[in-house]
Amino acid sequence: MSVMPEIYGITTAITVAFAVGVLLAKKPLLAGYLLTLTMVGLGALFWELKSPLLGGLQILVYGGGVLIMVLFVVMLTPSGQSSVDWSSSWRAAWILSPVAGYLASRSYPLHAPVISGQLLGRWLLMRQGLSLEVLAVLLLLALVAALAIAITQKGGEAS
Amino acid sequence: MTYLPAVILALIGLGIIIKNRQAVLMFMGVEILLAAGNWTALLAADQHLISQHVAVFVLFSIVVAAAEATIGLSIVLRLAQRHQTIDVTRFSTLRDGRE
Repeated sequence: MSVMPEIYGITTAITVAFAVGVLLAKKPLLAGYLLTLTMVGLGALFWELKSPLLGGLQILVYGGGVLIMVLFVVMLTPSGQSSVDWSSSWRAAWILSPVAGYLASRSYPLHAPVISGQLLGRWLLMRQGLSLEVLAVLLLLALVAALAIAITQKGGEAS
Repeated sequence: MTYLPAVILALIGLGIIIKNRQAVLMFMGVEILLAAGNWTALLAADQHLISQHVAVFVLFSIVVAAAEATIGLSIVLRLAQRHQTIDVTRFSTLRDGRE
């Protein structure tokens, strides 16, 4: 008998708990750390759904890249605005964590197709070459756009 | 029932957007929403779609989310620099700041 449904359920409960932590966090920096853990949990979930490459990408891109940017923005934004008012009724959201874990363990797809890196790489390079190039151009354009937005009008200093 | 955990995660992301008024925290909610969408797509591979199609969709979604975060966070930085705040309720105009 496979224990994967139980592991999947526990991972789901932990991931949702981290997300609820983001919801209830009083400080943006703590929310950023919890968001990193949420994304790592999601990467583990992708691995459990037999997609190890996508799980790794999820952790690398979200947990690594995006979250570093978020934390930089948190540190660069004006101080004194880190406290967030929230009512205690939001604490009821903690109940979502065990509920999601239970539902996930009951509905784990035992016969999910394996999406290996080899399969995905072959598919991308042999049949989706143009799309892959478009993605690269999109990322480059995003980088240029971000620089254009961040550069100030006066004297051309970057913020 | 298969998709319900992902829907719960998406609802939490939506709750983060609704609850907070700070742009960075709202961004975190958007990221959780997008990640929940990826999770849903991966679950759909089991039942309705060809696995390669889903994998390419998720890959594209991750890249688009990264591009969106890059541009969005630079806008947040610019707004913070100009208005000395990231409270979205304070931004009531889209006009250029050169008065």
